[in-house]
Amino acid sequence: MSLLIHHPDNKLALALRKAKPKSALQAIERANANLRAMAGEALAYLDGLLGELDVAFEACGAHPTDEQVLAMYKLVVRMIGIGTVAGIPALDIAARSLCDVIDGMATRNRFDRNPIKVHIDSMRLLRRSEENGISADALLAGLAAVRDRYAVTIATTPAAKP
Amino acid sequence: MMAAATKPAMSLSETDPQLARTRFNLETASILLLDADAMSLSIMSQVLSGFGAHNMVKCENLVEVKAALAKTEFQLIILDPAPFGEEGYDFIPWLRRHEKAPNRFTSVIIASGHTQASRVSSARDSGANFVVTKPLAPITLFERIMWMAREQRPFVECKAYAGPERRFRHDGPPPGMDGRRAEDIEAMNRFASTQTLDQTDIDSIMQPQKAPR
Repeated sequence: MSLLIHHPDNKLALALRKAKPKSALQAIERANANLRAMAGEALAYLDGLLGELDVAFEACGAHPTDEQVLAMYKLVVRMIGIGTVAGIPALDIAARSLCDVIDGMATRNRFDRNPIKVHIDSMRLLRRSEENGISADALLAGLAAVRDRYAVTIATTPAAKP
Repeated sequence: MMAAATKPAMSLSETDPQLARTRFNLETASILLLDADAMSLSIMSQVLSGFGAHNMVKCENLVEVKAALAKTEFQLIILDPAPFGEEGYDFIPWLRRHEKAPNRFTSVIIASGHTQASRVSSARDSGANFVVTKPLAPITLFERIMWMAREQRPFVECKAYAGPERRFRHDGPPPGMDGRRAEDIEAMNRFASTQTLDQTDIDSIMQPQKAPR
């Protein structure tokens, strides 16, 4: 196949030009306010996901199938972004760290319950960090050390050349 | 061939005087959102709603997305392919090659919380205009949308890739500055030592630049 080059209209630019001009600053403030208004709902949703994660983890046992590990990964990846809206950004960091750990295990085809359990327990503590006075920084530092032992190094192939 | 796009600006802060002068409104844009998680969809739609958008189609699976594409012309697509696995990463190449114009040329942002190591190349070569990481701050999404609205990159299509041209014209450092090459090297060193990808690293993977001559 030879190289084809298209010069389509930038439809996004056209849409922005067509709209009544409004302040970008106010738009961002409105977006932030909308997110603040969702905090309670996001927190309740996170509690639900943490409950589902407990169930998925227990279902894995000591020798989970690839599908069980993938299901747990998909559950954790859904959490990322919700913690910040719920007012607990450390939960997003912990969830991303757990994704790295699960992905590393899946890549090496070597499952280990302990690093996952320590993440789930830490996420529970982070969820209640305001009440229990736990230092999020200390917990995250511990999780980072665990993550570094299990995550895979990203090595990419060179980009395809058009 | 050099694309007529410029590098995304450095991150804005919400106190930036430039921001106070900028005008922005998504009220006439049709936007397609895809995320397997209902709360994530809701978060994204609340951010876009703050930006003035009200024509949004929210989908929780690829079947719904393809049905929406058949019916509506979109100006922006934002999706998280991660929870859909391989199918999710195959969606943008499908859009770029098989969907009819104009949706095949629609601006696409991948908004993902995590990318599996085995999928980093798929995300990079998918044909998306941008990859952003969750949690997504409104100002970050605003910046990316503004940048896409200003870009004039052509679309290229060949056996290995279909999507926006990935090379950028490098206009050199801003007037009066010596450039940022030393900082670029620092960033690469940081990446080599920590093996973590932040937003800047992802941008550089998605949009490799020619070094200034």
